[in-house]
Amino acid sequence: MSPMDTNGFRQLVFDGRQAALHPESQALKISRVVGGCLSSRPIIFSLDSKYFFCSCSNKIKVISVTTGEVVKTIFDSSGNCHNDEITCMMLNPNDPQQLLSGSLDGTIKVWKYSDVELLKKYEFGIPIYRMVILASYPDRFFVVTGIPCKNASCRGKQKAQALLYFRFDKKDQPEMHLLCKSKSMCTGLVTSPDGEFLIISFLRTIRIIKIKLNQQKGQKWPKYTHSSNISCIAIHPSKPYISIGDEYGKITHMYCLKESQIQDPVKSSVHWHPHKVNSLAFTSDGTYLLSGGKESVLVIWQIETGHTQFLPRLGSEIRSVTISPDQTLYAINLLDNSIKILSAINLEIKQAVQGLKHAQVDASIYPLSTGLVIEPRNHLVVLNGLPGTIQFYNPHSDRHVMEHEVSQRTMISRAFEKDIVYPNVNHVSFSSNGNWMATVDSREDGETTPELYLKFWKFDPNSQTYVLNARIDNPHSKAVVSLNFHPGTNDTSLSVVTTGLDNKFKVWKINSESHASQVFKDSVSWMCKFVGSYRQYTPRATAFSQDGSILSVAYDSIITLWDSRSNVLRDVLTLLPNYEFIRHLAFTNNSPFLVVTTQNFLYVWNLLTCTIWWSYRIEAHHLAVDSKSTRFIIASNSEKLQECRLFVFEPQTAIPVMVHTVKDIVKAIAYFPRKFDEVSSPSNAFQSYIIYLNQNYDMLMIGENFVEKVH
Amino acid sequence: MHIHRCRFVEYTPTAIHALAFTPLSTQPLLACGRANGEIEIWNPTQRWNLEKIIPGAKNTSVEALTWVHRTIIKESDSCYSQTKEEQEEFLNALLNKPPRLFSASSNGLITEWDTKLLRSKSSTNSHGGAVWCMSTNHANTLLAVGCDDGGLRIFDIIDDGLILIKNLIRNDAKVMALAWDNDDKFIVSGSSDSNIIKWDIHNARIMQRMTVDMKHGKDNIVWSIKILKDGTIVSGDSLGHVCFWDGKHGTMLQKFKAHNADVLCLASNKEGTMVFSSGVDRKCNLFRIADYFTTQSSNDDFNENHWVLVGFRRTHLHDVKAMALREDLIDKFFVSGGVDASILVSYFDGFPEDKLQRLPFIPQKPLISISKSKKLLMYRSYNQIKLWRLGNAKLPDSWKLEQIPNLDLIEPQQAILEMTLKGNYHLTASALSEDGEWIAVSDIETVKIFKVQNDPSNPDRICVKKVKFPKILVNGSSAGAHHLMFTLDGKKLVIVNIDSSIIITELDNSQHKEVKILHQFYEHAQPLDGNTSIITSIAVSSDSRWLAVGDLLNRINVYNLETFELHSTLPKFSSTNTALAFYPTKPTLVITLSSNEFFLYDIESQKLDDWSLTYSKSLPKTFLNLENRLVGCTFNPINSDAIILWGANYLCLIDFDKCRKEKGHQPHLATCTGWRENSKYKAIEQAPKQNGLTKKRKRDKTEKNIKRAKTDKKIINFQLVFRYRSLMYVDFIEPNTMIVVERPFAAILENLPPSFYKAQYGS
Repeated sequence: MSPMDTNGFRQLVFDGRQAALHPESQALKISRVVGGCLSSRPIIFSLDSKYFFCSCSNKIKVISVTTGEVVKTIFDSSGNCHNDEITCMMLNPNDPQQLLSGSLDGTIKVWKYSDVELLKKYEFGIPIYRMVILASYPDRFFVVTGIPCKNASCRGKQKAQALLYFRFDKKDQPEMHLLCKSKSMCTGLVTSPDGEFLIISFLRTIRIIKIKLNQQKGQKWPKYTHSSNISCIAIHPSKPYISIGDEYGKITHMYCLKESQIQDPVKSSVHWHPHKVNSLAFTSDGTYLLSGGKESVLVIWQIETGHTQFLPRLGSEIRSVTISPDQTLYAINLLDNSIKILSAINLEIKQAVQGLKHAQVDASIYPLSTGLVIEPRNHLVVLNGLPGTIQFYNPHSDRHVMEHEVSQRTMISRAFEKDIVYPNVNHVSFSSNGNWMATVDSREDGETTPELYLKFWKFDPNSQTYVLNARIDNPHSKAVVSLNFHPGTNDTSLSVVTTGLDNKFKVWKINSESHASQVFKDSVSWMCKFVGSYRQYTPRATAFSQDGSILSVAYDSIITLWDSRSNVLRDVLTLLPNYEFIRHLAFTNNSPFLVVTTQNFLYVWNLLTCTIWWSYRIEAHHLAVDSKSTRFIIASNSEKLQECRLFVFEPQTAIPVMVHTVKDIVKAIAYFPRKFDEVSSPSNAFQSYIIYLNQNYDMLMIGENFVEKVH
Repeated sequence: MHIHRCRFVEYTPTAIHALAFTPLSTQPLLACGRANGEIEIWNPTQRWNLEKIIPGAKNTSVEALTWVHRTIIKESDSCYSQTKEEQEEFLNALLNKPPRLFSASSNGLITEWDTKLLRSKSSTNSHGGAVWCMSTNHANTLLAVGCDDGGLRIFDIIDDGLILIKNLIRNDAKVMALAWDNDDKFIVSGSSDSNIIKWDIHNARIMQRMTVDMKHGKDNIVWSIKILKDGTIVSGDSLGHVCFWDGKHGTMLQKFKAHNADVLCLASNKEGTMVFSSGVDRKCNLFRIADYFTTQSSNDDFNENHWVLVGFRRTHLHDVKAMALREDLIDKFFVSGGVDASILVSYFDGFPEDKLQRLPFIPQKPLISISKSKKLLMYRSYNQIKLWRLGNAKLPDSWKLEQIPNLDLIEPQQAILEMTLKGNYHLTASALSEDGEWIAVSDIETVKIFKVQNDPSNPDRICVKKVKFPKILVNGSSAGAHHLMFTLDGKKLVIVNIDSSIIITELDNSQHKEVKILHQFYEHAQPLDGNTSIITSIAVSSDSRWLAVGDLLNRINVYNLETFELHSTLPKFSSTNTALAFYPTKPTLVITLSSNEFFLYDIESQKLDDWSLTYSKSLPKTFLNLENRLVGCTFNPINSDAIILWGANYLCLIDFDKCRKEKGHQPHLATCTGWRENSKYKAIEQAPKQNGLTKKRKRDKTEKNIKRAKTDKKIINFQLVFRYRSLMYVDFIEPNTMIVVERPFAAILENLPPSFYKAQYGS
């Protein structure tokens, strides 16, 4: 070990801000990108209805309808991809083998999707929210853009948007006209099937624009004001009306596409949805209208008769509805980040593509509090799903494996104006062999009694799910801060430690003593065996050492070390300066080091000497420890630069093994074990993937392929 | 202040059965026929002023109403006019004639009404039992009625009645609806055996028969038929369908299952582009034409009118039985009415979302008269007179200014007289003298005067004795009165005859034998520019010296009751006057208009009062735009410089003193729950309890003003109070003691049978 200072510990403070320039820092390679926000934008079917295109931040996934597999990803890092989120896609009306994608980076790109080839790129220089191109006028675009906002206050929902007309000449130089603008968001842009009209809707207004080659200046297009906030519009494929969905769930058919009715359009409304209509779609023969909204019910309106057919219990709010060109498939984008392909005949689900469910959950109410937890049995990633559930996700195959309802609930859309507050899963922890899972879920809406449950689940090999074994109501009188399984024990002597804001930590033990009663012979139960606290400090984090002998509980800026068998306080490590509270606490694998992060520092304690081995000035947002090697990783986000630096350390030395900057905000990070078949060369046998989740809910896997160069 | 809040008067308006607007060639009026035979005439241009009420009679009802206003010359008229000039003159005379009002009743009579004398002019038998529907042709020369025996009868409208000219008989089912073809050649009728029949009038035979859907083989009643401008026939039936039929071929074009129950009425605009339907499920649906031909077909034949159900509105609280539509005024609107007895005015613009106006269901001329000194309250129902003695409440020991205490009644109100009058006609007027000694009632045939005496056998009860009264004759027949009023000293009775002449009679307290006619004024009976009209309001000053009379032609005359001279004629106001009242302390007349303006007129100097000259033209907008018009005016005797104006749903205290104090001050209005005054407030509420047999028990309530007017620098001189709703009467019986008679709408609805539609989740 290194020599000690006279002070008793070796003071080594590195400034992490210069670490990027460190000569030994290594670049990491992103080996796989999975997950992503699949259902936030409407999908597009290919003309033969065999594939559909699904935009996923700046990539486009081509997914097969029959298998549900991602066939191609229109994305490459050679600079051809969009630099910002893709907002709209459409097939080129003149060549259905070409796909157009518009993005917030101000470009529209034309792809030949069969071999992922960029054919053409149109530079607009303004963020594109919606686009329309007509078959008869190639190189002419109708584009909805957001008027740039100077101050931050206008960045709310009320974004000013405008409709522009672009015409590109042979040198690709654009000629631009402003068609109309509004102080509110554009809610829909459609063209009439004969290409005569362009209909744009904003929050309250609808404008009909007659498309002609030579537009006269100062021409007044009719403008209609709707009585409530518009959420979506659709145009009937043959009859001269448009359908408007609004925030109260009403669908209004407005007959405004004929000269005789422009002045005083006839309106007819139908009302089934109690809440906002999110999407409307006409079948191309015009006999049916599909609508969906918050109720998770697909409503199929037979337009002539007003007869309605329902497909209820779709699981989550419907974001958009798309009908395939051959009319046999309905695609529904749901708020739980899934796309469901239904057969139009019997409304059975033919295919479902499920992403990370938390992707479209409002993270300000239901934060991603579990982080990324690796399930030890099958090495699945476990994280928050929809409120009240956790999701098991397989990053290798990019497939959703299982949704587990921690707190069961009935799917109801809200009954009154206020949204229903659902329980949120705060913590998930697994026993080392994966036979047991512990969860903490809570619900507090500010009106009713707060709910807080600690639940123990046992794996049931028959159903391959976790079955509730015990529920402890209010394990702590205040919110639970951490939940940890004791690592190194077998199923008969499991223990779990929880800490709460009530300044206590509690040790829960399994009680599998055989009962006298025959009924409870095989049953096991959980009991609180120990309640500990330290000077009324608030616990911040807990960690077990790898062998399970030491339990470490961090209080404010004090680390207490307890004998996990006898629950006796062994040592107290005090951190200086003590005005910074501890954020993360972890024992490194196979080495006697304890990693502690505060707001601005990273400390590594040597437990043999009970001294700070080294420290490092860094704002650590996330910490993950590799279970296969001694390494650990620190993620430091920079909101300003919209990037994150990842530092991989060996605990012995303050010099990072690798430093990597990713152009993402890391929301959660974990080490993910490799599959056994991947462990081909012995050199990386014990190297895990680093897996992290960015702001777009892409799950990125980083393989350390250049390990040999270090050391 | 003490407030007697009375809810024991059980006024119940009856269901509306028919609504009809006058033809476009005359001034707009709405006739509203009710189940008890009463016909109200509303004026939409005067902010829905209820101008006249034709009283009903025993065993009648109004099933259909029609205005007739002929604008073309018939062949039979050629004897009057041969040359062109004569023809024009004749036509002008026709145009200037007021429209004639016909009503059909379930007792089989078709009655023409005299809208001046407010009584029937002539009656014709339908010869086919009850009449369910009636309609004139577009030329306004023929009247077709549909009868209970399945016959359609066509009458020629001549100057003094109806002559039966055709009888179209089909003995299968009742004729429930009929409509004239646009060329007046055909009649389309709907019958109770699921058929729609098209009749050729000239040959008196059936041309077409269309059958609507039947459910389980049961007959479907076609309740309503309309023919649009393009010949399309619209029908509404008892299965809730609204069907559109081709007028030429009789084929069904479209069918809407728009209602859950019977469609009772339809209305369409003149162009035939909008159709409204309503019925038992209380929905009011709007259908409109959408220009619809598909873009694929260039063939213009394919361009057919496609009807679209725009939406519905459910505003009535019970079955809707009648609708009428008028679109030549500034606002296009339609009115609807039904079992819930109130008329709703809905405007086309933005239907089904936007504007709506509910006309007050309570009488616009109070049915109540009081005796202040004896604390008596008299209520007139259509055939009864009821008299109550008001109750007394225990005063609380100490006033708590913070809350409105409910006072216990130590002495409940007491019904002391209930008198059912014989006679076929409903009562038109009643009066109670100030000393409580005299009661005068009238229907359209006779005026009856009673002397009130104590019952010697029962001191709690009183009995009445009829006093001889000479018969008044109008046009050779016995006539009653439109208004009755005693002077405050109880010596004279003012009778407004149905021909608008005014009779002053003297009551002799010692003899009780006969009533002498002192004088008769004829000014209001004189026609003005060829028009005669009815008297709408009268008032007698508190010193019994002055009598003010106003009529519908805006003539207001003030008579001296001592010298029996016409004292002065007021200048004409811009809109119809609704109420007249004298100041209790000075000879000043308050005139309220249907525009919600009001004026103060000094009788002695014969000009407008100073306040009125300054402020009457600059009244607060909120006050002028109040939904309900002013109904009456009253004074708190303790505060001589303030008046209280009231309408169906509000009270407004206007303090003139404050206006005068600040020169150039604009009237300022505030809405509050009570009035701010230095004196203390309390209210006594008298209401029948809902439970038990003792219906007339009282519930007491004392209240004080809790909301103090805002102490900002603006002086509030218009204080609006919306605390009391559905006001039937407001007056002061003594200083600081007010009597408020309310009739809550909920109490009326309670007595109705349950409505078909029940609101469920989400609606």
